[in-house]
Amino acid sequence: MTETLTTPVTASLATTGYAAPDARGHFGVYGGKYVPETLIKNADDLEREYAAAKLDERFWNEFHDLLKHFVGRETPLYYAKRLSELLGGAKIYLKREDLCHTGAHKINNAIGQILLARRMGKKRIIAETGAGQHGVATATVCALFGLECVVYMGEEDIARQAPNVARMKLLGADVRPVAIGSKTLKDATSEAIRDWVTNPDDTFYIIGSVVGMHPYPMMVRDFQSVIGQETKRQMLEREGRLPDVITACVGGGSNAMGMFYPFLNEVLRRDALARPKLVGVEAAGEGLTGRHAATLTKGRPGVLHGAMMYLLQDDDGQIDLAHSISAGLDYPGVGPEHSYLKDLGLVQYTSATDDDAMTALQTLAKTEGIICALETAHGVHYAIQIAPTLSREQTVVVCLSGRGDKDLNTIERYLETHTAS
Amino acid sequence: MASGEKLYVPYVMPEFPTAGSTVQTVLALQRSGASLIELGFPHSDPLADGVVIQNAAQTAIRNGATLQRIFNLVKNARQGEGGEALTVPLVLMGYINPVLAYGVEKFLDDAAAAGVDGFIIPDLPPEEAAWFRAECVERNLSLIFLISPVSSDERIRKIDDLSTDFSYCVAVNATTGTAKLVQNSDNAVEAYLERVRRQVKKKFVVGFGVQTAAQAERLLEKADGVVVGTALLRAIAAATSPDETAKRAEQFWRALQVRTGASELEKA
Repeated sequence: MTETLTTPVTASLATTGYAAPDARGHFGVYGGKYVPETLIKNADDLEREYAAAKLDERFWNEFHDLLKHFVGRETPLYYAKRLSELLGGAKIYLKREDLCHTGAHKINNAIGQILLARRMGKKRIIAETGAGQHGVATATVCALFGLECVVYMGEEDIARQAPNVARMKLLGADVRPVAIGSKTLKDATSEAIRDWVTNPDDTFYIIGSVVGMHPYPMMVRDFQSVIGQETKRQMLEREGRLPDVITACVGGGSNAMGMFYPFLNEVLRRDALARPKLVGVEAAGEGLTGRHAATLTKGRPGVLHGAMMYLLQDDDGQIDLAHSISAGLDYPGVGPEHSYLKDLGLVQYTSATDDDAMTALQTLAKTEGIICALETAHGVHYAIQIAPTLSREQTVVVCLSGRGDKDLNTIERYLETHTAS
Repeated sequence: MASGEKLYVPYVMPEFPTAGSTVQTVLALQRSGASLIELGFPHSDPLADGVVIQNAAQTAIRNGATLQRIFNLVKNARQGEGGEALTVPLVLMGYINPVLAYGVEKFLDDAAAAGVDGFIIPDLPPEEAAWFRAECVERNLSLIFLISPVSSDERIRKIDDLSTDFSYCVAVNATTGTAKLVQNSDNAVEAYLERVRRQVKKKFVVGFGVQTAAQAERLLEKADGVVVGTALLRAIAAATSPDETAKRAEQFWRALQVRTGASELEKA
């Protein structure tokens, strides 16, 4: 394990504890509010309302009540015995976010934000979606609370995630195809922001990941950190100690942030031997020299969608097209807090190709009877790589962020063209 | 800028729609009465812009409108072609990421050397702009912040204070090129601009959605200047050569100024 705690910043954090962002929404140099003037009031209003809600016990009671009775939390921490035995190393545990209502972790955040929207008296909800899981989660909570719902989705993603489009429509959402630029998550996000610029009074924007202007990266992290809190408790119950490795896929990075956040102080304060190693897995697409979405691995800091973060961009600062077989990771930016954690060395970031993810997905399906989402499979790939290098006493936790039903068309098409392997 | 005179401000995207058209086009706009030129610099993901400017940015990127190229074009316009030189102020308007990629200090130094007078960066609000503004002030370059209909009075005073020369009022809550202003008949825009006037000490111009001479005239009653961008880009979009681009720009701008100018005379 690389020793990273010698830098002054992490050394001082070890004393004070991890605390980010600062009062202005900055994670080091990252994050912030890089938005047109028309959105400043909305961002400020939201920041104030969330600060008030954060101190309001009734808000959290309702949040946790819905997570329990509507979402079905807590989700199991499942010991993947056959997979672990097949690999012959560490015990692999799966944090089963795929068992959440609507099939992924996205609903945790959607519940939190819809409660805020109601507190603020907003009547109209907008969202962006890539894989469609956040769109489905948002359409679901809008149905639950009787609010109008508009979801922006790239045309390419509409084609490859058809089942989720059908679900959103059935839930009463207006799914608006985005035909500009990449026709994927990046431009769906831009269109949602333009909608908010145009409708600042009555509209609440439910962002689906730890991206966008302050306070979104912080707020989405807080709502998703239920994943890591449960995992910590469950792991201590099951094994009496913290996991050795915790891994999750990273597109914008909300499931990873929710999983990692409750462990950051453990990483800072424990000595190297007792410290969990946190690993985020980006999409290497067709490979890091070809088309990919490995923003932290290959990108440079810049500003997109209201925040400073690592970005895939050309020399002129124009945003590059990302590529991943999984629509949910197909984004040329990444959460500002992940950017900060990478620079601090508190989380390590690696990547998995389309082929790696597809192989991992099949291995998990055949050994454990679990078909995970293509996004999730990137994290599963890392677990499969690392487990054999560890001892049988050690443990690896994978955030199993979503289920794979939505990806069956993509998987079938892939298998048809890759039968030789 | 003589005080009391209204500012007529065209926004153009460089190298749009034809490569090699920028210098001729800004000179044509000056010739037809523009008091200040707003020259865009393109970004792949322009959050505050409607579809016309989004598409124009894509064309400009394809036509090679990098910041380096834009600085050269401004330099050429300042030096003059065939004896005619650009003498009116020119501000660059665009998003912060290309500036960061270029390097902020190099960007400001090269801009100043080329003859750029200032900047409008929509995604750099006062919250994030302290360092950038200090670098501008040090080089005697202008930085113009936006005011929007949802800006509070207190915030408008702060923006007026931070804008080095004048502020830019976004006429309606919308991206550029919206039709909202056309539909607006309840004098909400007037009330908003009057509210801004009560708060500011410096001048302010107004833009976003100004598509006709009649609208420009109406807004000039309340503001110190008017910016027209999307409608101008639409007028030149079908041009197939640099000459035609400049000619169409000149015709559009002359017509806009004559119509608003003529009604000024009637009132006098």
